[in-house]
Formats: sequence, structure tokens, C-alpha cells
Amino acid sequence: MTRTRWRVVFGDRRGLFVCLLAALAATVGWRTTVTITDNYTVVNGLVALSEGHVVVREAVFGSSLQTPGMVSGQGGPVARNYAHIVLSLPALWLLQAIAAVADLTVALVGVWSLLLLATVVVAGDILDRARLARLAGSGVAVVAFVVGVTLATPLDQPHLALLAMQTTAVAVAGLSATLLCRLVALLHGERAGLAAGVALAIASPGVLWATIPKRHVLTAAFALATCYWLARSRTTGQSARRFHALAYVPVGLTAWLNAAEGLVLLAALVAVDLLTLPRLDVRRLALVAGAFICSLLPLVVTNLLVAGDPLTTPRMLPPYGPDGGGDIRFGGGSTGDGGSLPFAPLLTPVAEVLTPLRVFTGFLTDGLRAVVTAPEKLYHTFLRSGYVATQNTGSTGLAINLAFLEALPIAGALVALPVLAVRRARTLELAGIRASLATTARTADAFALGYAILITLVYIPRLPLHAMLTVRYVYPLFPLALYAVARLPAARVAVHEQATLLAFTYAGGVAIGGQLTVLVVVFAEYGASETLQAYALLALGLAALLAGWSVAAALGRHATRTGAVLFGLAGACASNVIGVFLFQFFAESFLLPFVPL
Amino acid sequence: MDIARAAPTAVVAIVVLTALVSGPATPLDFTPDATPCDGDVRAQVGNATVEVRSLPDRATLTQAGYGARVWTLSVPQAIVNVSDVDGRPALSYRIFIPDLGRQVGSRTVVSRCTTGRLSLAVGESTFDPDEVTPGEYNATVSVVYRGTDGGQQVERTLAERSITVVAEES
Repeated sequence: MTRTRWRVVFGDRRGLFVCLLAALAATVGWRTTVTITDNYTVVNGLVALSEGHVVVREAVFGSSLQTPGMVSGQGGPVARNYAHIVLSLPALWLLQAIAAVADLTVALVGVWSLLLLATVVVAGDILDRARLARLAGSGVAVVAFVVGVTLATPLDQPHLALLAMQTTAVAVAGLSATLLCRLVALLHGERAGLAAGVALAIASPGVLWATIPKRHVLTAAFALATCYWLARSRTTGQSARRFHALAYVPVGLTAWLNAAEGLVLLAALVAVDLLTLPRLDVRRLALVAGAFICSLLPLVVTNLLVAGDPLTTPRMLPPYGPDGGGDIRFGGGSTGDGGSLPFAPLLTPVAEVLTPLRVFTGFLTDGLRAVVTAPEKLYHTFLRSGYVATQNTGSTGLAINLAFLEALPIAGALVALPVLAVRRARTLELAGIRASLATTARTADAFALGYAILITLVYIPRLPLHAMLTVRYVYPLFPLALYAVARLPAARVAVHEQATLLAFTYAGGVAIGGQLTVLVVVFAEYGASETLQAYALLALGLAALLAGWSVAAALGRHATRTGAVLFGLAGACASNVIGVFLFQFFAESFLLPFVPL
Repeated sequence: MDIARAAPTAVVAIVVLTALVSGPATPLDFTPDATPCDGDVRAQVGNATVEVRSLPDRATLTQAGYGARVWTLSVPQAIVNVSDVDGRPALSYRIFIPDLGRQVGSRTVVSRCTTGRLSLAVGESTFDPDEVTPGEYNATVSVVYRGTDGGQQVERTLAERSITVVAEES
């Protein structure tokens, strides 16, 4: 790749670094097994597609085709989330090519070691320690490779489709970190961008979801891409028009993944776009409309192949088999993805364009009603999980589904946002609001806020739910929350002035906290539920401290060192929670031979 | 030549060469099947002499703290002595709690590599907070042998014992 081409994707070394770091962290917990029962559906869907047909003819993974999310298309059972399936084809071909010339376990251990080397080398370049980083990186990479090859056992996979879908999701998780890094860097400079990207890469639930073949990491990446390109379209420059058109491309791709989430993205984008657009010329409108229509092509083609109708998405089709795929749960068995929204009104043949929109507005009104009539849903989804009873057998005796803040205590700092907003509003004249909204930062803010509200409204009627782990339906809120934290002036000051303290607190929190966790789990015989809920309470404590700190800072009482320590601890807490999920709750079938040690 | 510049290139070369050498075209195999004990026999085919040394007389249900509230069943291990193994017969160690309507257990496949003293565990099992009330439950633990004899499937309960499961709040 030439010098300029990699910059198109990564921007600068920091964008590349967070991408590598995210991929490195996520692959530590890479498990070569089906995690949630609806994984069978998409993985078998990829097997079928790689053989040249949409209809899933054989359950290469699992024992039956009646898995959650498998639907009856024209000609037989078909899968869903086709964006993820089709985008995984290149990864599948790559893995098949590697397996043809090398032992795949050895090759993947090698790739991971080289990823480690690349991460250390790029970090060295950023910190101006290039020579040391090259030597040390080479050393640890060789050690990792030799140890890995020594311990390697054969991969037990019926097909490479599962690994391919995981590879795609890991790559997308890496690019998400890059997008967040570039978005924040665009508004507040490289250092703030780097901090936000690193937080997403190693201290957020992204580490967990990147190796589970589900749609959430992709949904978030598409939303981040729209946010970034929309912000770029508001900067002055020749390419503003091009970025404006680009911002609409992820809409079609998201709809290809999940139609409801595509509509959420479209609604948030259009609303913010109209509200903040400086001026509209015909060329710009034509370019934007063209990009949007092109982005819908994969969705339309897929719908035609799957359902025989361009407007019928896989999720609108009736479930395959008499039981409708059963229920979503971990490991084997079967489980209905909570992602399958109530499409009952759509089961009758539909050809109108308006019906999906009516269903969508139905979701939103359902969401509003749920928020008003059952506020405890918001409480359990965002604040405190504990044991939440559901009607589902997949959840028997588990309290492992954490609330948003328990999974991302850093977000506690966001409590200061209303305080800042009120203080800002006092100095703002009403007429100036629209002009103020049209700036790059405010456009991105408005999009992030609008998207967060809409995605919450769509999913809140179904939450809290089993098999969520970290409220995965609203997974895009995690990177958006990190963006919002990076918008807090006090948080940026902490990163700028006390970066070393923050980094060491984080590293200490993970190293010491991780070992303490292992000791407590072993000697006090904690189950996964108990460990996770203990961590949840710790996370809430840290979130409360961060909330107090950030409100104080918003009111003018700064304590930068305290902030850096709190951010470091909150980040370490989030990382350790992911560690508990991976090494205590799942605890098996790791791809890397030296994990867990 | 600057070592620091050459080192990463050397690592890439080592990794690529090793991966290629490990490939299907070469006789070298870095990932041998680590299961020579099992042979090619399916589980539950074969026979063995199994003597149950001890079964527990008590198990516990403990409620998790920190708001998790779920109950975890913990059953002490059963100790068995395995000898004269041929093939891969299996041993199941189970607990049945009628009042909770639940039987849980785990299966251990034995082979000629696992002869001698062996500890069997039931494995972790959890219950909803409202399923269990503090107190005592009657239960049965058993060790069941599954193998073949002259091509016929054989299933024998080697030992069975009535025990008490104590559920206590933490």
C-alpha cells in the first residue's frame, strides 16, 4: 500500500494504532465455538452462500436447520444479517487460501504474533521510541509465536465459515476504533482521538463482541462511519460534498444487516442533516441521493434472492420449521434472538413501501410507551442489572446480563452533560442556535444524541432480556458514549495533562485487579453471576465517583489528577468485566493456544 | 546493518516460513492429534472395571451475593477406581433433586490413560432465585457406567445414595 492510501483509511499512525490494538485485544478472547444459538443461522448461511446458493441446505454447524433466526425464504430456509455474511466472504476465501498452504492454527498464531509486533512498532513510532519498540516488539512476537506453536492443537472446525465471520467482525471492530479516533481527533486533536480510540479498543464491551458472530459490532461501525463522514461534510474544503454523500452509504449497509437499525440510522441522519445543513445545492442533493440509492442495492438484491420481493427483508419472513427455531441461549440448544422484532403485522404479504415505515414508527411509539409506563426497564437497562427474571429458559439461574453503566463505567462522567448544556444555554441567543448547530462538532453531537435516543426507543420494549451480556441490542451506545465523554472539556484536560498517570492506573487496575479477581473466584468459589454482579457494583461505584468529579469540573472545580485516576480505574474495571465474561463464563475453546495461560 | 530495522523483517520471515513448512504439502505436523489414548473408538464403546470408593452424603445450594441472588448447587466429588480399561466406556455422575424437578450431572469418558483413582464432578448448576427456598432437600446421587459387552450396550448403576441438599442464604 502506498503512503497515501493507508492514510485514507487510518488517517495517521494513531488511527492505525487503535485499529491494531482493538484487533489484538479482541483476538485474545477469540473462541472457536458457537457462542449464542442464532450464530448457527448466520454461519450456516455463509456456508451456503460460499457454495453459491442462498438457500441453506445443510446444517454444517449444529444439528438442525431450525435455529433461531432461520426463516423460510423462497425455496427453503435462509439466514439473516446478510451484510455480515456477504462481507465475510473475502475473509473466508483468505482463510481457505491460508489453510491450503499452511497449518491454520500455526498460521493464525503467526498472524496474531505479527499483529502484536505491528502494534508495538506503531506505538513506538507514536511515542518516538522507534528503535526500542522494534527490538522489544520483535522479541515478544517471537516468544508468542514459539510458545503458541509449541502448544498448538489442531483446529476442530466443520467449515471455516465461523472463523471467517469472526475475522470480519474483528476487522470491523478495529475500524470502529479508528473511526472514533478520527472523529474525536477531527474535533479535539490527535491526543483526545487516541484516548477515545484506545478506550473503545481495550476498555469497552467491543472486546467481547468482536469475536462473537453477531451484527452489533457492524451496526455500531456503520453508525460511527455516518457520524464521522457527516462531521467531515460540515468542514470547509473541496471534499465536503463527497463526505456528505458518503455519510448516507452506511444507511443501506445497516439496512442490509437489519432493516429496523437501518431505519434508525436513516431517521437520525436525515433529521440532523436537515437541521444543520448550511445550504443545499442541486449537485450536492443529486450526489447524496445517488449514494443513498446505491447503498440500498445490496439490500434489494438480497431481498429479491431471499424472499422474491425487493421490500421483504429476511426478518419479515416466517420462521423456518414448526417450532420457529426455539429460544436463544448460550452454547448449544437453540434460542430466539431478541433481535427478531415483532413483525407479526408483516406476515401477510406486503408490497407497500409505507408498511415498513409504519412498523418503524410503531416501534418508536412502543418505545415511548415502554419508557413512560415501565421506567424500570430504563433502570435495569442502563443503571443496575442484578438478577432480572425473564420468561425464558435460556436464562435459568444466571445474573450475567449487565446494564449499560455497569459495562462502561467511564460513561458515568456524562452526568455533567446537562450541567454543561444549561450553562452554555444561558449564554446563547435563540437565533444563534441554528448557526451553532451547523458547526462540525454540534452536527456530530446532534447525530450522536438523535441516534442514541432512536436506537434506545426501538429496543427498550424488549429490554432487559436474557442472553444480552452487555445490553448488546444498544451496543452502538458504547462507542457513542465514549465520543460524548471525549466532548467533555474536563476529560480532555485529564488526558492531555495526566496521560501517564491514567495509563499506569489502567495497567495497574487490569494487572492487580485481574489477579485479585482470579484469587477471589478460586478461593471464595464465586460463580460467574456473582463475580459479574460484584464487578457491576464496583463499576457503579466508580461511575458515581466519575459523575461527581465531572459535575464538579463542569461547575469550575477541577481536579485533573483525580480524574485521570478515576478514568484509569473505570477503564480497568470495564476490561476486567470482559475478562470475567471470557475466562470465567465462557472459559473454553480459545483459538490462541496460550489463552488462558 | 541496524538490528532494530532488520528485526521485524526477520520475525515476519520466521512466521511465514514456519507457517509454510507446517502446511499440508510437507510431512511436518506441528499440531499432532493429542488423543492417542482414545484410539478410534467412540465414547461408551468398550469396558472397564470400576469400583466406587466414596459418594458424598451432603450437597449445598448457596445463594450468590451482590444482587446476583441465583443459587449454585455444589456437590462434592465422587471417588472411583478404574482398572482394566478397554476402549472408551463412560461414567456418569448425577444428582437428582425431586422437589426441584431437576437432574444434573456430567459424563466422564475413561480410557487406558485414565486408570487408577479418578474424581468425578457434577459440574456447575444454577437455579433461579425463586426456585429454591432455604432449607433441606432430599436428593439421590449415583454413578452410572455405560459401555459395551460383546457388542451389546450395557448400562449399570454402580452406586446410589440418598443425600441431603442444604440450601442456605449467604
